[in-house]
Amino acid sequence: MKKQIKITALTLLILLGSVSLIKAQSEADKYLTEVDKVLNAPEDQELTIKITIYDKKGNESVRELTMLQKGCCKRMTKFTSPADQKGIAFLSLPNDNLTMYMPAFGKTRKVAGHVKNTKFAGTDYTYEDMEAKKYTDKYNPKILKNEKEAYVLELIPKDPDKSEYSKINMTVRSADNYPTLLEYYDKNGKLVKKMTNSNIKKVGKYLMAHQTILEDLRSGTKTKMELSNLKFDTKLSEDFFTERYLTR
Amino acid sequence: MTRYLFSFIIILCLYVPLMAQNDTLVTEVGTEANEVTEISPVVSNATPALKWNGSFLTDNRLNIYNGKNHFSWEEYRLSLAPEISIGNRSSFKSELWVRSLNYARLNSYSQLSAKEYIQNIDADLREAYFEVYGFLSPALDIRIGRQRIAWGTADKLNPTDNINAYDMEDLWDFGRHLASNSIKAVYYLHDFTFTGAFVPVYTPTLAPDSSLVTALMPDFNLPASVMNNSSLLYLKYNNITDSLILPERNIENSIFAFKIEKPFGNFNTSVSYTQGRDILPSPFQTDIKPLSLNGDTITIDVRSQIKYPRMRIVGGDFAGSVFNIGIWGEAALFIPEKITNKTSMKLMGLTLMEQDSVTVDDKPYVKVAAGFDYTFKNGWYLNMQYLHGFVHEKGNDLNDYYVLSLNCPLFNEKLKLSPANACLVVDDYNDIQNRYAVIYMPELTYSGIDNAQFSIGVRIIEGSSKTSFGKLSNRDEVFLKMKYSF
Repeated sequence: MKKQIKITALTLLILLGSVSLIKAQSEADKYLTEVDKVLNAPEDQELTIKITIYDKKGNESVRELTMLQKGCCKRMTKFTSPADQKGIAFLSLPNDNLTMYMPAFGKTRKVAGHVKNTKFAGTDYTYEDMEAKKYTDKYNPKILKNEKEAYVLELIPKDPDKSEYSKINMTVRSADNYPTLLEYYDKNGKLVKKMTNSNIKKVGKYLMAHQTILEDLRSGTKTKMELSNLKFDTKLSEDFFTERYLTR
Repeated sequence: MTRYLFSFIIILCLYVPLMAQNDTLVTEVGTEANEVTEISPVVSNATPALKWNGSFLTDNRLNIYNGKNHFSWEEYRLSLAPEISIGNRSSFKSELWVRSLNYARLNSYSQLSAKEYIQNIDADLREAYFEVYGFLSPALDIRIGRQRIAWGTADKLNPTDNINAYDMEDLWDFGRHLASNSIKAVYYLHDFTFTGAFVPVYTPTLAPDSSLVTALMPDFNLPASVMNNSSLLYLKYNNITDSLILPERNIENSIFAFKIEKPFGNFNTSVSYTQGRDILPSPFQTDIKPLSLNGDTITIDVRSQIKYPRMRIVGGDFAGSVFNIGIWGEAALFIPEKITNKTSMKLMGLTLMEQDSVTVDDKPYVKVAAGFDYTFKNGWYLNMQYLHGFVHEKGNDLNDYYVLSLNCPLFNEKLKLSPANACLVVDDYNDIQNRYAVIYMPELTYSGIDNAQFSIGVRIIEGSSKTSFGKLSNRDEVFLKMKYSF
């Protein structure tokens, strides 16, 4: 009899534990879904990005590009400066489909997975950081902290082989579910990069961080991104997200 | 057939400017705008805007073979690339090189007053073309003018890239082509891309200068003697000349090419066909003129007529990635026109000798290129490529080339060390010790200043003179390059 009670109690405990785990998981999923909704709210967007790269000594180097995005996962990026990178363009499509156009060769080429973890145009961003994505498609979330002002999600890559990170800790403002800080950890669990979103304000009905600073804690370099000329929901044609447009 | 094609091209040429004029109108009225593309303010300007891009490049080389220490190449190149976008439907792009290439070519006192002998400056219109997007149909793009039509997925050396003539002026700038005055049309249908190209008039390949051209020429030994009525006559060559016959400028001799592309998953693939010509001319008529007979030695003049054999090329290529490794490959089946050289020796109208020999066999042959690249976690980039058949090789004389490139970024990518750039050429695997060449090209590049790049490197060539590159083993060089883009 005693034994039966013990087993029943244990089963109940496991069940309760599982239920609370599932609840926590579903709550984490819900939070991340909200983040995705905020970040990918516009039907489409077009903007200009000024990228300033600071080396260890504080020397600056500037790049400019234009970006078109449709929904969450179609993105066309074209460099407009500096002169030696002008015309280089990237087309990012769902399912890790990234194509690059190099005007010097007049050809497009699929970007292989090995390139995705390398630096994007000398910045502290990797191609993985720059790709158009839904966080819910790429990461399993876990709530690390849940406070009135902000909550912190731990994001574990669903496919670890496709990511250079073991996890990302994302701090999100509770009021509007906009991420303010992302901390990237390498495969050894060491904090290697820190991205801070600031100057977050509404453009029309959409929230947008107008400035992002990514610090590479290993090299001591940082990259600032400033957005301008933002336009939303201009009914961008699907034609812009094709290899045909990439080569123009 | 020719008449219809010709008429179509004329109509096409007349229609393009009209389309460009109507471009703004179409957009304003909005009847076709939705079918074609919607105009994005970020990426285009409504009014034509001229943009100037370009670069300035210096390239100096010092031959260091056997302690020679003489300057072997000097190039100062200003590249200007004006570009005009007219709405989102058309654009004009061009590139002009203004160059000072190599050294004074003086050989007499009287030339001192001619600047062209002292400072060799030339202008080279590399490209100038007008492009219309959505021409006649929203899915059709057309480009007319002097243009480079680059095909193939391999790195620089592409067996399927045969529309434009090769530009081998700088032998070490692999894969460089001349632009062709041509028309290119691209039609997009679902996942398929159909490309057609038409080059009305054939342009020959630009060969390297005379000191390098031997590398491209097959070993050619003139006979030392001939049999005449069962007696042996020794030949003494007085004068050897050639006469290059270019293809007639008509439709029959134009270059046609088409390509069909389709992505499969994470791979791009294509098949193509080109009706062109071989890059090197071959003799089809050789006239021998006896000048004098001295005992058993006959002194002769030789005059050969040479022409470019027709070549049909069927190609295929792919590029994609497997396990995060980038891979690519392409192959081209070359089907040459058979060329028979008719050799005759005549004296005062009397034929002393007549002989036919095949200089180009019509037996098809295949050139292949395949490679992979990978970036390691520390940022080192490795690129390896195998090539069967260099651009000038044909028939049974195709060599194998193994090309390795390793780039190591240093100091936050400001410095790039390429310690293992090399190429191994194998002519004959059964006699590899005597039929190989190695080109070793380590290089250091500094990119610490925006838009500027400085490179210093060395090129060391070792190998048998029976291989193309082995013939250049006295061309070991140190090079210093600088490029500034604006």
